Amino acid sequence: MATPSTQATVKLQSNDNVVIEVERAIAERSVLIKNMLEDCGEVTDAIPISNVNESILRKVIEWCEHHKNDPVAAENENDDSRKKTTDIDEWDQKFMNVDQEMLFEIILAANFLDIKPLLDTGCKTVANMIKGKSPEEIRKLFNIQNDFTPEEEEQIRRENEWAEDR
Amino acid sequence: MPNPDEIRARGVQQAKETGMRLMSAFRSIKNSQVVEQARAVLPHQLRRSSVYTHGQTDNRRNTLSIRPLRLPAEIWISIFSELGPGDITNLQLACRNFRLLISFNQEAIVRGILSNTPELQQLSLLFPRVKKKDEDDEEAGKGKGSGGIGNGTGPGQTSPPRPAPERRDTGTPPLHKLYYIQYLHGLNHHRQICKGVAWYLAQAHINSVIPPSAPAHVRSQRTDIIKAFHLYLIPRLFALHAFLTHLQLRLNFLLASAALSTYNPSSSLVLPPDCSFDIQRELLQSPTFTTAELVKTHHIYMFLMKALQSSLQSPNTVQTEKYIFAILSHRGGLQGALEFFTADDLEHTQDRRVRVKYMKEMSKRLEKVLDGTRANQVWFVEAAKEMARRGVGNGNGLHRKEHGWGVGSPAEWIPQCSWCFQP
Repeated sequence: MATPSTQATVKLQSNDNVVIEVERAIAERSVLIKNMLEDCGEVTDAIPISNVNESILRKVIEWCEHHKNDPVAAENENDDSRKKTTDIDEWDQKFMNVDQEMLFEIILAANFLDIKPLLDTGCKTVANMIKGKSPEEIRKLFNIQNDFTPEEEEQIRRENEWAEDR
Repeated sequence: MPNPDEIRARGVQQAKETGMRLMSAFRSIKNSQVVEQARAVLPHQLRRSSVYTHGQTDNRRNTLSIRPLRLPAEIWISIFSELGPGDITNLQLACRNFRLLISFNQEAIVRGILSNTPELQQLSLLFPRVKKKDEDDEEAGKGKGSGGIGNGTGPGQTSPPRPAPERRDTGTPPLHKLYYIQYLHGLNHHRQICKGVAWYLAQAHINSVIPPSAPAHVRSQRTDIIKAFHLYLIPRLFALHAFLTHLQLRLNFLLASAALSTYNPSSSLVLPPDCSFDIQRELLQSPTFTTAELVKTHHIYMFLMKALQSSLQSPNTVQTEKYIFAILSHRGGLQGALEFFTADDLEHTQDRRVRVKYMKEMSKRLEKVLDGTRANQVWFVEAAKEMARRGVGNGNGLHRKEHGWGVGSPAEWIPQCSWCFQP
């Protein structure tokens, strides 16, 4: 079993081979890295973050730095304690105010690195983007094509008609 | 003429070569970057769980590729859980990928939405999902009688939605089709009715305590006060709405069971009072009506009656009672009251046809209401007995501490009873 390490910083290597040195406490906002450090003890080499490029990794580190003093949520935390959709922290709102490509990359990175609060914030941001939009507006938002035949579209409308009319 | 053995040998050789080519192609796919990337975006729970390592995947969730939508299915499900029922419908109409994603993951999405929306969650406890005959679901059987007004009283009713329990062996929730998008729309429908009634009640109440002659600084706060009071009232109407809905459904069921030749859903409350009282007693003694819920619902019902009486402004008490009875038995739950308030709101009812249509329907309805019918046959008689039984009544069919709704000083704008402050 590895002995607990006291190292102050860790190196993270993005998938485009850029090494970024961060405080261990900040890196440990990621459950993936935290578990890895606990398992391996002292790590002198850079930890490869194979699915995240430099710009996204820097963004994620920026978020972790800002939230480094936040209480870490318990693993099976009650869902009731979660904030509501509209309750995204003002700083987080600004942080998430990026183009859609980057937003999705941040969400994927948060998912890969297992940073639940960041993943939640990302999901809420996307949800807020969808809220109140018509099907056509949703298509525009995600740049997707309407691939339904008119018959299919009519069928879906008929399936949901009762819900609208009541 | 070729030798049959040669033909067979050649066939075997060709099959071997094809097999080798397939194996080689499979290896190259398996080691490709695409697969690595796909693995990487799997949520950690799946990577760690035995489901993934043993190669048995939850087909409904993970075989659905939503490559054009760029995020894995699990993340989309989390996103959808933050939305409302209307948004889900619009997403289904946006493209085939979203439609499939939502259809395959209805259960998870509905559970997510319910856990994120306290109002819908509260309603789901009052209106448990009714299991259909063809749904063979072990979880449904387990949840029988665990809560809800109608729970354990009707056939095949199931437990309220809670996060699906995790299986110890796989770490994934068991698959059971209990909560569909349609169920969510149903709950949302109940919520909209309660929201509507709450809005009219809040307006009526605040209008009565903030007259036009009130000081300007008080009048300026009027809208904010109405909004705050509206939010206070909404969840407090849920239990009353559920009580009236279940009462009507049960009475309908009795009428249908008795195979009355003149069966008509709209006349369901015109049954011998004893029969109705028995059902009401049973509903009031269900787990939903804790003492706090009973008192809160009693007070909100009194408030509703006052608002209806005030709107009708008829000097004939018997006629007023008959009319109120007709309103409350007109549709399921509070829908009749909502229709009445909507038609009665002269300020906002621009379309005169709404009013005319409502009056016609109500005239028909009134003909069917028995002459001696009194509004207090619904709720008040049995609620008074129940409050007395629980030691919170005042002996006159009222709660010990009744509210002075809509009269007196601003101190009485909010309820005086401590039960009513409980969330």
